[in-house]
Amino acid sequence: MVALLVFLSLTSSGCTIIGSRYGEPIDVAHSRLEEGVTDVGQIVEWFGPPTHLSALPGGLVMVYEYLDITERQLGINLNVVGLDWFKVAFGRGSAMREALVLVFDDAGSLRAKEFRRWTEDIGKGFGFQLFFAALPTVDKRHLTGPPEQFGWGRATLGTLPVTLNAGQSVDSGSHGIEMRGTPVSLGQRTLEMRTTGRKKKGLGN
Amino acid sequence: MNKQLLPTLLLALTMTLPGCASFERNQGVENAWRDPSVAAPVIGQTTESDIIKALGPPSQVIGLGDQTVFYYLMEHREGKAGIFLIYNWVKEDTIYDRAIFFFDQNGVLREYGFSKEKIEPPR
Repeated sequence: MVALLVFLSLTSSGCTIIGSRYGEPIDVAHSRLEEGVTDVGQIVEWFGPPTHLSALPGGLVMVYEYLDITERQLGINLNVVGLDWFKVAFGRGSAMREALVLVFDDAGSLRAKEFRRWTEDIGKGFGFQLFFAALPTVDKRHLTGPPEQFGWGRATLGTLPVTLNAGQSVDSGSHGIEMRGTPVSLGQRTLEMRTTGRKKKGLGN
Repeated sequence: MNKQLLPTLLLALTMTLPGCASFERNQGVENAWRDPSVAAPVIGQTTESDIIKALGPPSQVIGLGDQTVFYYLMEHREGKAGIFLIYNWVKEDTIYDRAIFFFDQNGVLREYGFSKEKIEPPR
């Protein structure tokens, strides 16, 4: 009887796959990146505009990023306990990432380069949902924020610590860059006193 | 009795039949650099003024020492979803159409480039 209940419970449950893709894979195979030879013009011609760009002392840095997030959920219908309209969903998220970092000198000549492709575990989640819903259970917001170019004009409209540090922000394009998903409790960001809490929301958070 | 039957039936059908959804959204500046009627930039000749007149305000202006960068970005997000109760899927793609222009101290174009991925401009 128990086995039958388990079987019925599992067969009437729903699996969900939620995918989000940001940008296109970086095509490094068709380019010749040579330090001291390749210049900014060639890079922009081969790869187009970078995801992030910033001035550096004695040059500039460009980063190209690609992100493919997948969340897989197993849903178990709760009809065995009398909750016909609900399920519990267990989700696990992973992200396939690519990044190309290019550092140039003052003359626009390539000084350093690195390309990486990796898959990272972005966490697990659990949710109590209506059985016909397909909602995410894994928090992916640290990876899926809007590009800094969309927040550029709002730099002085944030909370006070954010505004006071806008001049040195890594979002300004003049003080370095950071990859998607970088914790906010790092480096220059610590001065902005940002929080990752769910309750505190605002322009600066 | 009949008044209640139809909404109940509709609700039952909504809840039990498979469903699908699709959505899309654009954000950012208009990608006029994809418009064939806009003159192609010429390195060493086109100026900051020409670019702003042709494409409008950039998404971001960056100071790179003795260079100025105009960065244009349009984001297109589209998604599809299938709800089949036993198996559900949601797929979302975000495409970035970008243009970048590097100018020298005199405001003359030094380098420029467009992203390989592009969004069809509005007609």
